[in-house]
Order: sequence, then C-alpha cells, then structure tokens
Amino acid sequence: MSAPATYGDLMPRAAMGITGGVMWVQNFPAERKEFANRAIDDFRDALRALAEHTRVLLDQRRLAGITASGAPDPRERAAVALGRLLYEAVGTVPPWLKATARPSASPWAGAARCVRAASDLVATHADVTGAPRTPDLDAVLGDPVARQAALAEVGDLAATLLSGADHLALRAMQAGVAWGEIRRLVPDLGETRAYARDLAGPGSLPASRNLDDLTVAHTPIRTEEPAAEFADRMLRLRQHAWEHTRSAHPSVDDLKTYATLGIAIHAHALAFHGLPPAARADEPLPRQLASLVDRGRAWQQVSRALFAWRSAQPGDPVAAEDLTRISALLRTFAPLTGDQPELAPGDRQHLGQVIAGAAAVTADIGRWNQETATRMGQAHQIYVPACTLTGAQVTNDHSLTQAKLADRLGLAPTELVEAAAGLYGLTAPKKGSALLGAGGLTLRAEPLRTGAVAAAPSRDPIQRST
Amino acid sequence: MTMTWTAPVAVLTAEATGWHGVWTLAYAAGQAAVNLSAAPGADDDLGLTFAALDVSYALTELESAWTDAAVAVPAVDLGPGSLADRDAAVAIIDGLLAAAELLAIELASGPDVPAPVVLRAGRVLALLGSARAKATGGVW
Repeated sequence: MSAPATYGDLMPRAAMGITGGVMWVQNFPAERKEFANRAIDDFRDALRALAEHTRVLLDQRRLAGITASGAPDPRERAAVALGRLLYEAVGTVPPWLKATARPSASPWAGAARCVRAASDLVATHADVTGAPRTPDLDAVLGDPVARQAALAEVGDLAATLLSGADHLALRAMQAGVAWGEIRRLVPDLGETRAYARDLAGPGSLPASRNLDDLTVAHTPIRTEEPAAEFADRMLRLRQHAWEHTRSAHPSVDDLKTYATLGIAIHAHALAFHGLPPAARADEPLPRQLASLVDRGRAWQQVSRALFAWRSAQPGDPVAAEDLTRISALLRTFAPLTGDQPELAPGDRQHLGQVIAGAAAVTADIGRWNQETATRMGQAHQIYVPACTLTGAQVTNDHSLTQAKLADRLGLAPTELVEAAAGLYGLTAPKKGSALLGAGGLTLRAEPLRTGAVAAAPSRDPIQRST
Repeated sequence: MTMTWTAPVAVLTAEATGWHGVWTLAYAAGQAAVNLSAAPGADDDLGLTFAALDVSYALTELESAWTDAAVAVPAVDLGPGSLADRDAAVAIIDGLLAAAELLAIELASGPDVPAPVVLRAGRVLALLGSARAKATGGVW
C-alpha cells in the first residue's frame, strides 16, 4: 500500500494537467470533430472541478458575510465571484451523467480528477454538517495562511485554464464544430479570467506546508513497512486523542494509555540519540535533547498521577493495540538496552525524523488530554480510592469523608484534577508544536510546489471575434 | 526501603478473598510498580510502566462487574521503592500479581460460575499475566 496522497501531491498534478492541455490546444489541431468535442467537455469539466473546489475551500458559513461586507478580503471576494461566474458558465452535471460518462485520458480530464480528489480529501475532514471530524480541519483550513494559499492556487489554475479558451474555440472551429455550439459551450470568459487573476494575486503564490501535508482523514494502517506503520498508528492515536476531547464518556484508561505512550516515545527518542531513559535534564545536553528529557519526565509524572484514577468507561482497545504495536516497533528502531541497530545514514535520518515527528505528536496529545482530564473532572467522571486521599483533601467534603472511612471510591477532588492538568502542561512545548497537519510525520524540507504553473504559456491567447 | 513491603504484602495475600480481593491485590501490585518505576534507573526497559498499565486495564475489567458503586475496595500503597532493592521489589510485585491470578482462577473454577464471569476472569488473567511478563523482564 502506497502512502496516501496529500493535498500537496494532487494540486501540482492538476497544474501540470491544465498546463499540458493548454499547450496542446495552442500547438496542435484537433484532427477530428469528436476530438474537439471531447476537448470542450474536458475543458468545461476542469472548470467545474475548480468551481466545486472553490466552494469546498470557502467556509460556507462565512459566504454571506463575505458578500455583504463593505471591505471583504480581496482574495475571498474574488473567490466568491469566480465560483459564481464559473457555475454560470459551466453549471453542474447530474450524478447519473457523471456515472455514465466515458472516462477521458486527456490532461484536462486528469487535472479535473486531481482537483476533485483534493476536494474529496478536504471533505473527509468534515462531517455532513461541516463540523470537523479531525483536528486538521480547523488547524489547517481554519488557518488564514493555508486558506489564502489554497485559494490563490485555485485562481492560478483557473487563470491558466481560461487562457486556453480561445485556442480551444479555434481548434474546435477548425475541426468542424458549429460556431454557435462553440459559443454556447465556450462562452466569453474574460471577466471570469480577471477574477481568477485577482484570486491568484500579484507576485509569487503564497504557500502553506501544513496544507500541502494534509492527507485524507482516517488513513488505513500500512503494516508492510515498519516506519510507515509506526507513523500511521501514531496519527491514529492522535486522532483518537482529539476525538476523546469531544466524547461524552471518556475513559481514564485511555489517558493512561497516552501517558505510557508519551513515556515510551521520549525514552526511545533519547535512546536513539544514545542517552539512557534515566538521563537528567540538568546534565549538559543540547537544547533539543534536554527538552526531550523534560517532556519525558513530565509524562512519567502524569502517568504516576493517573494510576489511582478510575472511571466508568473502559479504554479503547484500538488505542491499547496501537500502543502495544508502537512499543514493539520502537524496541526494534531504538532499543532501550543493548546496542542500537546499524543503519545506513539515510535510514537513520529518516528514522530520526519519524521519531521526532512522534514526539511532536505527543505534544498535541498532551494538550488534548489536559482538556479531556479537566472536562472529566468538571463532569464528575473521575473516581479515586478515597483511602488514598489525605485528610485535608476530604475534610470539606462529607461524601468523600464517608468514602475514605468505608474504603470506597469517591469523586476525585478538584485540586487533584488541577494538579494533573498542570502536569499535562509540562508535556507540551510552550509554543505551538511543529505539527499541525496530519502529515507531520512526513516532514518536508520544502513545500511541494512545481514549476508547472509558472511555466504556463506567456503569450496572450488569440482574440476571438464576438 | 522496599523490604518494608514484605509484611503488608503477606497480610494482603493471606486476607484477600473474592473478586474484591483480586482487585486489591492487583491494585497494590500496580501501585508498587508505579512507585518503583519512579526510582531513577529502576525502569530502564519501561517494563514496570507497561505492567502498571496492564494492571489498570485489569482493574477496569474487574470494576465492570460491580453492580454497587459503593463497594469497599481497600487500595493499598506500599510506599516508595528504591533501585537498591529493585530485584526484591519486582519479586514482590510478581508475587502480588500471581496471588491475584490464583485467586481469580479459584473464583472462576467453581461449578456454578456463570459464563460471563468465566470470560471476564479469562480477560483479567490475560492482563495480569501480561503485566507479570513485563514487570519481570519476560518476553512481551
């Protein structure tokens, strides 16, 4: 199983397809009328895909505000106008026609498929009401930088595609398609093209690495390659920890699973760098390693604080299984005792990135677990054996005093939950983690931008008579 | 320091009866594993940390059968452990878990034990066995 496609994989492929199609109609005639008709269909389909993608990128709840605002964001205003004009020009296709349409192998059809795949990719992060299904919807698409980058890219693609409209009309006429039919299917799109250029904006396009790394929600676990399996299971645990913050009945067993995960990740990360799990933060260590030691220690404190906690809900077996498998993989990647495995420099660098990404994931998990524990405390969902509480902790609570005397479980006192929440605060760096997108385990040095869009034909399209 | 664990553990093991006794033995073992893992150098392979997690899962399995939330469950904390007595402390933890296993087997082996109880006992035994393997450095 290959790695799941990311947004940054799909959109450059769409750009290459659009550019390839434009260059084709500029330089080669359509030999037969049906070829010209197919090119027109694919052109319109690519525009339709871009219109749909614009709608996906724009938060539908903000549409009314954007259109009513006296001073909206220029790019968002252009996106709304572009979407409207594209829908007017090419409309929509009923699903039954899509299902029966013969697949086309043209570059424009390929581009439309890539854009639609990107739309579907984004859509997997939201439910039918538009509410997020993953932490990445808000973290990536809620980020104005990422949204601006995505919209600019759509504008760039649309402007490039529309630059081929005149050549397409010429080639269709040369192939014998009736002029009236051409005018109906490829109308004057000058205003649309102007909005597309507004959407792309001046200068180089903005870019967002988090957006490029965005992949589909709930990816399957790739078990055939250990590093990939490790990364996939870490992402599943991250997703589960986020869902836990919204669950009506979270479990303290899951919190304990995550605490053990945090300990294991940091201990093995230290082992990977040649340090024992008992390394002390006050030893002279590079800043990054000292941070690993500190955060590993914080997870240990969290784990100890949680042991006595009980809740009515059992833990999620999938999270427990993921932890078991991750622990087994870590013991082969970076064993805690004995010699470290001999690795080629490239493999070692890749493994180091994967383990560093996992440590960054635990920072997200720590923040979400803190939220979950606080909420569970407020909802009276955490119990502790009352005999483990001090007299000062029970003296003002009659039910806790009775529980302590009778060796029963009692509701966890507020100060106990607050203390644990404070410990969770130590498991995450003060600033935002290096990971916001789902692809945080596949760190990239550069955003995936190709030169395809920049290589769009520079000469103006020929003018059509109206 | 860990040798102060011996006497209370002997009392616990001798006095434990019923499923609540299994809970008390398992809790004491898990808390002892947590305490020992806090000593620097005592849990370099993280076996004690993972054993404590398995014990927590086993406790939840046992609690799932409780019909009365006001049940009395003495939770025993044996106190801090030390690296110097690590082997003896691990043996005590292993002994507590073994005692919990034996008691669970005894409780699930009667002629009139309902099937759900037997099945739950099987799950608890699997978790306690896993915890023992991890705490004692066995294969896991």
